[in-house]
Amino acid sequence: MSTSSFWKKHTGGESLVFHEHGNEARWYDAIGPNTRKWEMRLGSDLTTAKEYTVTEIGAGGTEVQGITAGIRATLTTNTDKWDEINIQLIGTPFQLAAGYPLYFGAKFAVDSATLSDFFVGLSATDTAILSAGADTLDIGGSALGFYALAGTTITSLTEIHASGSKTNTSDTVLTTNAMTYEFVWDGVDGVSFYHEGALVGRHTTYVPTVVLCPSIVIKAASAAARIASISWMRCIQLA
Amino acid sequence: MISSKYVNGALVYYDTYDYRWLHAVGPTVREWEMRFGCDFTTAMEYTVTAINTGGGTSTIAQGITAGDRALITTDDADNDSINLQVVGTPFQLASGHPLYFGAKVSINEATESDLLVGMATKDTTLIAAHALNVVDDGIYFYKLDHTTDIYGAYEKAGTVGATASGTAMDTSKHIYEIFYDGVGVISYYLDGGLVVQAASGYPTVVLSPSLFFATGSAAVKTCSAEWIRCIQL
Repeated sequence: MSTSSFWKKHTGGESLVFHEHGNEARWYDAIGPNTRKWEMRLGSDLTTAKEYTVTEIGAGGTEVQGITAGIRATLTTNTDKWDEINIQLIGTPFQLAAGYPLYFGAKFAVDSATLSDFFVGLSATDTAILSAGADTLDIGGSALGFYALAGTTITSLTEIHASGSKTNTSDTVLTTNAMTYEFVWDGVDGVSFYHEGALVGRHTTYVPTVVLCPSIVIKAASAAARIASISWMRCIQLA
Repeated sequence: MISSKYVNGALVYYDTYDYRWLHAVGPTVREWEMRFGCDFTTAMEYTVTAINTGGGTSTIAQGITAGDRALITTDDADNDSINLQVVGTPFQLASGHPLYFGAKVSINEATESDLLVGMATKDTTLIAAHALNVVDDGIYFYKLDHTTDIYGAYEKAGTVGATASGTAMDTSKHIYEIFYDGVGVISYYLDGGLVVQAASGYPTVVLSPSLFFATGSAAVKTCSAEWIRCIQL
């Protein structure tokens, strides 16, 4: 596995995108005049209201920098069923718009494939992306990303709040291994979702157009602490 | 169009103009860029000084508009402002060490406002009462209240050399760039157009990336930063 690059024309000009060799849907970095680039830092401050808005449903969870090689953050819920940690970057600097291609990717592991809920992706500001007291989504604004709800089925989602949503199901089931979740907005009309590098689906309906921020949510689906270990998480938009 | 070149042994990516540096890779590159999601709590990444002449509070927060990294919102009394500097002074104009500073910034009031963007010595009131107030040294662009004139300026030990850009401030995003060639000339560019070049009178002390914005009337005003970065080899 190595790194390649391509030139991408967009509304703001032309940018150089670094990607996985042979996989133009896995962006590593981009250089351009107005490139919007965010990546969870090693050593970032997970205290709420610093870099992230951290919301616990069921206080007593922890959000800490990783202590295992390659892990940037470890989220551990409290021990009651449906305890949850909802994390969003402060600010909403990303927006899907014509001429502004965007990549989002995250690699993380959960410690139970069947007794956890998660969401990862971009969302409008929302402190409860998953419902309190249930294994269900509760998108308060618009969002796109992946989720799993107390089971091993992984679903891609585009949702415009109060309008509707579209989903597709990954052929690969959730395990406790670190898995990669990615999507690419083509800057035209569609978002392609990839789980573990395989195309899950391309969504052209209910694609949000509001401002969004990188978001991740982990929830316990049983009366035990659930752990999410984030290897990396990044968003790159060409502008 | 993005291109690359080697400068002082470092790989420099630039856009459109030779001086518009985007990124550099090298053993001793000094590169700072305002981050998305950075912490604006004072004394963390930045020294944030809110000047509040009325009863409220001027603020700086992460951007909530697509592409914006920071949003300054003054309070509603004349001269209410935010003065922002990166904690630390890691940059210094010195022979053999070319430097690029750039910022893309907009303000929502072209006339009744003060703006300073660039680099300066440690200073918590870069503009005071609608007048330049940089204590010692800096390289920066500024505009003052009741005018739309944008100046490129260099200041050494309190002596300012300023040149009007000829471009009137408006509420659009503008790109402010300063390039020091590492030999002896410093150049100022506004939206890609040369404003002034100077071969003397610029500072040689340590400097910090800086942003100041004030309202020039009894009304809330805003300043949005899309990007600010500094690269030195």
